[in-house]
Amino acid sequence: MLSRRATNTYLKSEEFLMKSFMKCYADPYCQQTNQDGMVNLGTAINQLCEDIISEKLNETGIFEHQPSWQHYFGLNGTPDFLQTLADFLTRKFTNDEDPISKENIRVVNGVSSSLEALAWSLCDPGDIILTALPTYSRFFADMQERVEAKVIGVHLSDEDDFELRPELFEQEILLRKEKGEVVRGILLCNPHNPLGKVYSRDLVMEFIDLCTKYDLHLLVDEVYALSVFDSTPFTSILSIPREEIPNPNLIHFLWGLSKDFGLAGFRTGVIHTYNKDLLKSLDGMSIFTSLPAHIQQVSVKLLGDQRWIDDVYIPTNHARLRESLQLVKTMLGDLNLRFIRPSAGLFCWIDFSAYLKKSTKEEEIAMFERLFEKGKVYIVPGTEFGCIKPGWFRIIFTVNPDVLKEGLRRIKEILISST
Amino acid sequence: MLSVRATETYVKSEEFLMRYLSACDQDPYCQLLNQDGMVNLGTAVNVLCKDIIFEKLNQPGLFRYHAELQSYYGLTGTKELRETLAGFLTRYFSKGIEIQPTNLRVVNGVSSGLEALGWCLCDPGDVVIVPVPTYGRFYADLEERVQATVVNVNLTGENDFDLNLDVLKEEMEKWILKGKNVRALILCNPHNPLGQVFSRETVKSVLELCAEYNVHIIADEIYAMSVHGEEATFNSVLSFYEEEVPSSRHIHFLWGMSKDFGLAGLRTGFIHSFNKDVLKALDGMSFFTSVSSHIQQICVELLRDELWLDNVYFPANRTRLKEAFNLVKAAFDKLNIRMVPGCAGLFCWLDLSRFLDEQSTSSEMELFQRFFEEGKVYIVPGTEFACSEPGWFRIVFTVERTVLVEGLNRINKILEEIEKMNTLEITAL
Repeated sequence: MLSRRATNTYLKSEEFLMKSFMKCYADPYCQQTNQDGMVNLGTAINQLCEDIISEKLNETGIFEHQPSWQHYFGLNGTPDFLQTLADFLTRKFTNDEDPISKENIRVVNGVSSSLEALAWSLCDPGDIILTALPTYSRFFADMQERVEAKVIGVHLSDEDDFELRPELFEQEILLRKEKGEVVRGILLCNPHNPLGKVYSRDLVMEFIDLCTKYDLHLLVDEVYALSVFDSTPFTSILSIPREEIPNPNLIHFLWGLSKDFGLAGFRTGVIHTYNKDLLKSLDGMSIFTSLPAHIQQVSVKLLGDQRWIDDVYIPTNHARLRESLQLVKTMLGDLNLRFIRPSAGLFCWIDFSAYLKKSTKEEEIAMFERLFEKGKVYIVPGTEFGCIKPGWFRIIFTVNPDVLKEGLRRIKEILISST
Repeated sequence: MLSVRATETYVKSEEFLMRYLSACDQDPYCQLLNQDGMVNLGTAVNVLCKDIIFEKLNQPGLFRYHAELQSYYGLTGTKELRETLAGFLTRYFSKGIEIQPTNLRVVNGVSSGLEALGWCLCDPGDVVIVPVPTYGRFYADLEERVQATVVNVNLTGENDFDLNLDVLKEEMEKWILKGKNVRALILCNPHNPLGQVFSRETVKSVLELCAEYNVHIIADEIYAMSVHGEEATFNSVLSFYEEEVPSSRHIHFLWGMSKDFGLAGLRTGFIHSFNKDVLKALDGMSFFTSVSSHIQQICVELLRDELWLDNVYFPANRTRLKEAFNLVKAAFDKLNIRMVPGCAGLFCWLDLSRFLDEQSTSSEMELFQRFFEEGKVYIVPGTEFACSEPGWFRIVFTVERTVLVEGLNRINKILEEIEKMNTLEITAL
């Protein structure tokens, strides 16, 4: 009845993160009204600053309508929004050192949509994009489902705390080339999901060098860039001066409002590239990836309010992120679980393997199911993120503290009862 | 550097309607500030009710932010919007048949909706049939990233491009014989560019024909509420009971805010389908077609305000559409230029063939260029809408009155010059 591709992609199975989110959404935990509901510590949503964001977005005059916005205006970025973004990215991502031009920015309806658009533009079906594992699993969905790029994971080892090593990528590139396969690019997630790591400038340069050497595109997903809550310096790809990049046409930056501002509901993704052909391709498909002018103009007001961002939002968000992480450490501390210390993001990556009967994927999934069905708490099992070693889980800590406590309590209960 | 598909599709060329919209936007005519600017009577936007829409959208409290809107909950359409839309469609489209919210999906524009449906129904190379002339972006929407093959079924000007079911049937059989999968047919009703509505019998016959050949119907009804002809009755595919049609699973309805409300800027389209597999596939890809929950909330406000719709917006829109249409009709009647009798939509379809040097596509494109470069007025040449007969043009009339008059004058000037040259030539013979 449907096309083969639709049948194989969407009828035969359901993407894990979306499916789990929907299940939790159908039966959400509420301290007052639904104590048996699902506690969702699996979907990466930042609820910690809902109050501040609400206040900002309910300010008088934040939303308006102008006649020109009725029509086909700013499909891939209104002039105001592109300029605001140029200024914002220059200020917050390059420390005002490298002026970003609005000519090289495009806006699309979400970062998932951005990944899909880039994959379609850079890859023909079957062309390979490499990414480190464990990884945010929707990279596979976003670049493979409709546009049929092939995402290949490069395993990081839990023995060195999942250190990101460019040489592992080089090995994979050479292996694929030998097989006659086409590797088109590398997708780097920095800050990293799910590890919460922030990569050094040197490491970012190493990836630029690697991509230059093999003429590969470097896609850098920086959706958590402004959610670095310790003192680790963050090096955006945008802060590498153009002159230091041998082939700037290969470097593509992604960001959006979904994580750093907790505004997934705005469906706003931002792409920066120097590559004129890529910009042209994005323009050509802009009607499929378009964003309403009205939302863009609200975002102009939000991102344009430097004082609010620098003095209110970001410091508060960072403080609350630290507090929430501390809560996780406190409540799970006595279980002596190994975990990767996150510097950024909304989550931590924790090793439950000591509580698995056997160190196998099956046991990890069984643990996930116990947590989900019996414990009524959702956290993402490492298998879904392609982790080579069974037992790792990602816990989102950016929910209301009471909900977090309840979730952690449930996790603890299940873990202890597993022994 | 880029993929082959991106290079071929977007780097080597630019889609016509987008290109010329862009060009007009760089240098738009303004009576006060830019009299030499481009008059755009090519892009189908409705500005006639911009005052009413302006008032509505600037109502205090229309945009109310609450925390729930922050997250991922409206990816396929918020519950509120689907319920409101179901009520709206039941009231205005389906002649009372209850539309179910669960059969509705929200996507980021009707173009995106067409692309999504195309991807769900077609594998690359599968055939989609469209009677022509037709809205030129159907090719873009179904071929660019989806890679379906859109094939034309030529209708003839002799009988006002009436939809001919025999010709449709022949075309389906032809492609099936060639070993192709004929997967869908596009029924654009009200029709773009003809500006007509199909009779209930015709719609039913098309549904029956398609069911017979296991062909899906993509019913693009984006102009449904823009019927300005007094005598005209619009028949939505939604107004047929499931039992009345051979296969309701084959019928996929599209509508949106872009034309009937002149709110293309909201980037919001809607799909209705009884087909559970289609709905599941749309859900699966919803990250790529999502609309901001805030915008969905605004659509709820617009679509549920029956008092405003029935007493303010729809009557005003209909009246103003009629007035503008009549103005254009009168202008072209005066010049004895044939127009397909239009009763809906934002445009009319005119036969300018007698002004061509020769009855050919290249001659028609020359006339288009002359309007554009010399006349500084943009109207769409029939070739871009796959019309098999040269000389037809689509003129959009839903612009500001002064702009419309200026545009018509510019067109008239060029046509007069051509007429004069022709007369001189005849005299010279």
